[in-house]
Amino acid sequence: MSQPVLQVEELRTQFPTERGPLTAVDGISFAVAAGEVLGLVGESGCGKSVTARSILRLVPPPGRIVSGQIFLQGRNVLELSEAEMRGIRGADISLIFQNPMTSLNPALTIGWQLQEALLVHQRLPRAHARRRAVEALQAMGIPDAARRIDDYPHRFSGGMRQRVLIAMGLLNEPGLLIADEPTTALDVTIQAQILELLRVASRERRMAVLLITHDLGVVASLCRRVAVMYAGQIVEEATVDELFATPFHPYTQGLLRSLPRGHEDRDHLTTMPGLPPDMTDFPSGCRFRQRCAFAEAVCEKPPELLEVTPRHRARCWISQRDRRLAQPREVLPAVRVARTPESVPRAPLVELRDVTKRFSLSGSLPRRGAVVHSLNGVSLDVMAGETLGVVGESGCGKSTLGRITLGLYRPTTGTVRVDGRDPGDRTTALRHQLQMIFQDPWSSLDPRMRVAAVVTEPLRARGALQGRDARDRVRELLALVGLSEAMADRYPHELSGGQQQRVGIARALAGDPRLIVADEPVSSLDVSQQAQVLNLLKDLQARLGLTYLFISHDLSIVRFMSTRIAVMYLGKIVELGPARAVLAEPLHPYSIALRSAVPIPDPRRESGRARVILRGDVPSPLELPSGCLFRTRCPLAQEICARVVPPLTEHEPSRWAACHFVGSFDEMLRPTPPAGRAAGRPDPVARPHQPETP
Amino acid sequence: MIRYVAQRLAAGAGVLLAVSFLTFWLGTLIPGDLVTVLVGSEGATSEQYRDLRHKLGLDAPLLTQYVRWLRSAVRGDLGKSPITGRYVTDEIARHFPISLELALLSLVESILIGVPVGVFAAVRANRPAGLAVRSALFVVFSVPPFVAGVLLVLAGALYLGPLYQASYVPMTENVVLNLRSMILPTLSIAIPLAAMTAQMSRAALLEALGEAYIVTALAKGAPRRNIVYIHALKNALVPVITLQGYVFGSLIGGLIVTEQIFNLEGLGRGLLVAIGQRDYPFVVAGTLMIAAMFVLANLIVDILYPILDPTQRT
Repeated sequence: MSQPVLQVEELRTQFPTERGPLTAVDGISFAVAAGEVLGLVGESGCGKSVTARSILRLVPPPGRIVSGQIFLQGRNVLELSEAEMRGIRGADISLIFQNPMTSLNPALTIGWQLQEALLVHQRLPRAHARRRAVEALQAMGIPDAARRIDDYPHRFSGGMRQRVLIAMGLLNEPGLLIADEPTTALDVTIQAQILELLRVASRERRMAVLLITHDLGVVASLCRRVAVMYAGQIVEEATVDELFATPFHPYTQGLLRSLPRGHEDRDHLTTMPGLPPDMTDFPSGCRFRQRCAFAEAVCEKPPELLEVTPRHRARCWISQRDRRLAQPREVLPAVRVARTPESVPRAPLVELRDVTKRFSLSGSLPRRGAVVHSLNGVSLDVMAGETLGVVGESGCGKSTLGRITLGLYRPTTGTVRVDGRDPGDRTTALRHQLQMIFQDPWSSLDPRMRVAAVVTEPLRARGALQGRDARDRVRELLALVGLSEAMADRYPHELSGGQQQRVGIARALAGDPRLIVADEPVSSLDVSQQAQVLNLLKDLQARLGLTYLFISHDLSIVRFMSTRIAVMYLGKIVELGPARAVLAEPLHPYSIALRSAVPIPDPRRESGRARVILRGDVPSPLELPSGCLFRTRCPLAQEICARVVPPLTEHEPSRWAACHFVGSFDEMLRPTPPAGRAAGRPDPVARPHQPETP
Repeated sequence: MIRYVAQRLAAGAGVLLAVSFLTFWLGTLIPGDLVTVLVGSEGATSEQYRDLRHKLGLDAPLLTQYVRWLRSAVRGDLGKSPITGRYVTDEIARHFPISLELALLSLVESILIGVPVGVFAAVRANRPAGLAVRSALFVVFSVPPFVAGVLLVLAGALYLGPLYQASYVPMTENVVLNLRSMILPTLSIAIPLAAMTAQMSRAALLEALGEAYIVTALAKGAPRRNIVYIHALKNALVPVITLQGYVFGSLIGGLIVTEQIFNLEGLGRGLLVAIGQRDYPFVVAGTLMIAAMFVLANLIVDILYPILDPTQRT
């Protein structure tokens, strides 16, 4: 094999702290060849982003590279002067960031920013640079690029900004592209577009790509090889197929098993106990030892990253010895929960009828007075004891729906009834029975209140608490969510993200609720924490007979949690039905596209899949399209769709969809022609198992 | 945009209306009125006293007096000073340009000094030079402007040499002499102001340098001058410049100390004298002028904002 584009050897990067050096990257080695996509996977804080910044020598101060070597096309990057390094950045290595919303300078036009990337590396006439920039935008599928190049970033959606950033990264034809969580901040249908762009770019330009992500689905969809990081080290490295089929490190195995999968019926997720170690004070021996179900005496010595089978390396004594890793024993006795029956007739607890919600924009001048159409006629029942999952992309109105159900917003038109009463009526006891779990546990907890105070606040709010009882109630509530009593006196910042979310759940439970609206309750948590919280929510539902309105952008999680699923698009429900059916055989073209856009953390299934890549962005809720709201992106849209609003009708028993053409769009699932115009080129490599004729 | 400006101007007119009425009303609360000042504390019979009050219209109810004043004010007639016998508009025209020039020049100087110092301190944030500048800013900031003014007068007389011009020369007479006469007074205002501007520029620039787009710029290999002077500064200047607008608004009303020290016949001094003499027509007009400047400065800032910050544009 020829020389790799990037070769990292024994890289170690540290940040000085008051408690001694924090080793973010601890002696990692890997290589990426031309045309190859290497995935670097791990949970937050494992050192994967610092690795990316180290390669560019842009470690945020006071961090610094302590030792190791980084070879770029044979040149040792760490021996270059700062001026030489500047010549490499953006020319030989490009970096694409996680958050496209903040990664472009708001005060400069995108044209200026693109041209700068060219002009700092080449002597070019401005007009020439501008032409190249326009071409690069066109290649990334930005419509009307020649005109839009003079716009400022705020005029672009998140997906479009990420296209601009990728265009910028590719302008100088670098040999290596580092993409640090490039799609994490984007909606799934936009993520599918961006992944397709990266896939095409790496193949057509024979570019080496280092893809840094926490999302195993993204890895399965884009990478050929993958390295898993844990506590600053690579713990496993293999081809994607092998890693997903036979993980040799217990951490990898745990990550894979703690993911909910859309096609499986599971009543609970396997979880990893505990938290990653303190990066200033690593445990001796294997760093995963304390959380590992297989740990033995030998694990007290530090393991090396060695080949277990050819080209499949793992940092684990057990698999190195046994050449295999057993299925894990459960560390904690899992609480087995009976799966919520899908078809028990029950009374509706929540009834929404033709609910609309509009917000008038206030504040800054340009958009003052514009009206956001957040909900556009939603009728929905939530049955007592069920979990109704609401899924959709950002701006689809799912959070507004949750807040209207709780009476936090009043509907503009239509009615909301919970248990036959108006949830917005502050005089009834009903309000205490309606609770919410928030997306970001950190910002939903008052940083100056101890856990005990947070948890009992709902009780104090209705004057239902006195001295001694309070302490008992706190203990009871914390036990319910799996926290020890010792946590009661801590402040939120002393807790991990998962623990914070448990406190949030305990607070919701304090008022003996009947309905809990959980708005993206796990989206800010790492995979292993996520699984624990999801299991807890299911367990609590079974024990306490709760009804959930479970809001998430993640189809697999919604599928795992829900009895029924409502798919939302632009403030309307486009499909409603039993969870299993909606995922297995979606009726609405948007549901089909949504399902197709979510990368499956299983390379065999992922590569055998047809992709439906939707064009463009979700229209602005300021100006809704006529007729069917989805028609501007729908591959099946016809003339009738612009005129007639398709009603939500029952196509099969208890399966509802709002589309004129339900049942007549099998061709959407066929591999050709792909739906995406700009990005969806036929891709024989990515779909080897695709049947020739369906 | 035009509609917005019109709305803001209408709101500004409302503010001026309220200010003029308040000044009017406050004037009646001070013991002793204009007539007492005019006739002195002795020598006038209560008959004469009442006649004079009637002649000046001071015996009418407050609201009637106010409406009377307002009627002529909207026609541009702010009345005559009962003390000097001169038209108030002429008096304002004499005092106001001095204050305006003083405020504007001070503001420009504070930006010209403050922003570069702030940039210098931010770029060297963790190095001795940056820390030294930062400490120096605290010292300068904490010196009261009048102390700085007195020191400047002394220092100016000693060291400024041919540039020194002690007495005020109107701009209409001689621009060069006028500017020379303004050096010391404006500096005495601008230096503490510049310290504030520098602090703020420093903080805003440091914040901008920590943004994600700076990493993007670094990652494309942009040189340091692009990073600091284009990427970061363009964002950092938005709050700094808009602050200057508000500073100007409050500055124009607070020039009295400087005008006193440097013997400038500005609006602040004029007002002080007028209040002592119960020269209410002038007090009301002068206060109104200051309020109008404040309203105008705020409006300019709001119009400037979308020009400086593209995200505020449609």
